[in-house]
Amino acid sequence: MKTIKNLFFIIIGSIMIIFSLKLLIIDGSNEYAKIIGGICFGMVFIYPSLKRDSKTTSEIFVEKEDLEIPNWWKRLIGFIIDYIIILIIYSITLYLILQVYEVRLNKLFNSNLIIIPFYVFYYFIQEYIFNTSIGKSIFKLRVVSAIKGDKPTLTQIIIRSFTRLLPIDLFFFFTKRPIGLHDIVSKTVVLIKD
Amino acid sequence: MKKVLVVLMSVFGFFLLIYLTVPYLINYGLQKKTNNQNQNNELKEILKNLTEFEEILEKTQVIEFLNKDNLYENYSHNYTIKIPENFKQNNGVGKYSSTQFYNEDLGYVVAINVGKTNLGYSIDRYKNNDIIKKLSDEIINDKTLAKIFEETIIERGFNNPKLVGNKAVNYNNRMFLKLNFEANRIVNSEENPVLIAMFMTYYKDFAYIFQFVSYQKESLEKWNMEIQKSMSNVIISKYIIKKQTNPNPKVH
Repeated sequence: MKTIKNLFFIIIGSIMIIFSLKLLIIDGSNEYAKIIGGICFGMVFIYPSLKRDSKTTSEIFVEKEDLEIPNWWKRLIGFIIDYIIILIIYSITLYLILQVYEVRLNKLFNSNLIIIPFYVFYYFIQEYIFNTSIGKSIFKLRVVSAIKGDKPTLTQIIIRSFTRLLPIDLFFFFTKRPIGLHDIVSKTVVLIKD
Repeated sequence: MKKVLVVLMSVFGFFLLIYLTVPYLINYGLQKKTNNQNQNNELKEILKNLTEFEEILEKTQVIEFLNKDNLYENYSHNYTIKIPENFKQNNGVGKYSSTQFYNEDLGYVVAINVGKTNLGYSIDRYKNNDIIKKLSDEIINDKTLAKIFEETIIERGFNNPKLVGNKAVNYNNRMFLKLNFEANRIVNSEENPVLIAMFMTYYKDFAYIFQFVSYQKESLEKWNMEIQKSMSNVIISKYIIKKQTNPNPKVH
């Protein structure tokens, strides 16, 4: 029964992904929000079904070391704080560009695209150097490599920073064991500092 | 201390990168926007020209029709119709009416009446098509409408007209309300049965009525074919006007 249920979710997820890819490749649609949304939700359906039988490196690491994972709300609040800081930096930069070049950059390009470098850079620089971010440091959280149990490597931090851009990332926190997609993909874990 | 220095250097590098790339981004964005605007303007221009194109098409279609043989062209009310061969023409009475074609031997009549609608607004082809479809449905539900149409048949000198069928039909992208009547006409104190096929349409502030009268019940199929031939050559257009002749030809 469980296998049928899993299979059903995998089929639904695959259909969503196939339709999104069809929209993008065959139809040449520019409804990117719809396409990304379709792929992400497709993955949401597929991932848990496959995940039941196999554990990720981050989960194995947490179980093996018997580590305490921070509550989802701590990470959510941390994320909101970080996001507000990013927004402030982003807005100030856009304001300065407007003053210097007399052009509103967010009118020329999609705002969601312009904010990406700020978002990636903000997390990258802090997590690589300090293994934490301003939002995380409030709850004394730090990023640890699930492979070595030590500081994450440059590659892991780069993967973390870019995987964060997927909107689906947020859904991973509403599970029994809140480990984000960016944690799983980059094989890192966020822990409470000793 | 070293870490703080690295962060400061990175932040400086990041904003330096922004400072250097922004002019290129602005150029690219402005160019893209200009291209999009040009495309939009082109689209607007195309849409504007589409109306002109539609008019050219109509004109071409009309010229094509006018080149056909045996077409009756009415320039005062801008229409054409094909009249069966060997029909004589006479003009009826009335302000806006009317032209009548008849065949004495067979007793067929094609009568064309054009009358003002008095609606106070002009009716284009699309509006006409809409009105005709609605009228066609209304006649089925509202018997008083049938009576009104029957009255017009009585006015034309027929007795006991009865509306036996109605349909919205399309000729050359124009809808006509087709009404079939059975009536009588008294000739030498004898009542002769008559079949009338009436086609009604609206153009600008006029109602056009094409009436096909048959005094014989036999050879009805042939007559119906003639009706189809005539109606399929009915065109109402502002381009059906008298050919202009140059009053002052240039002398070379």
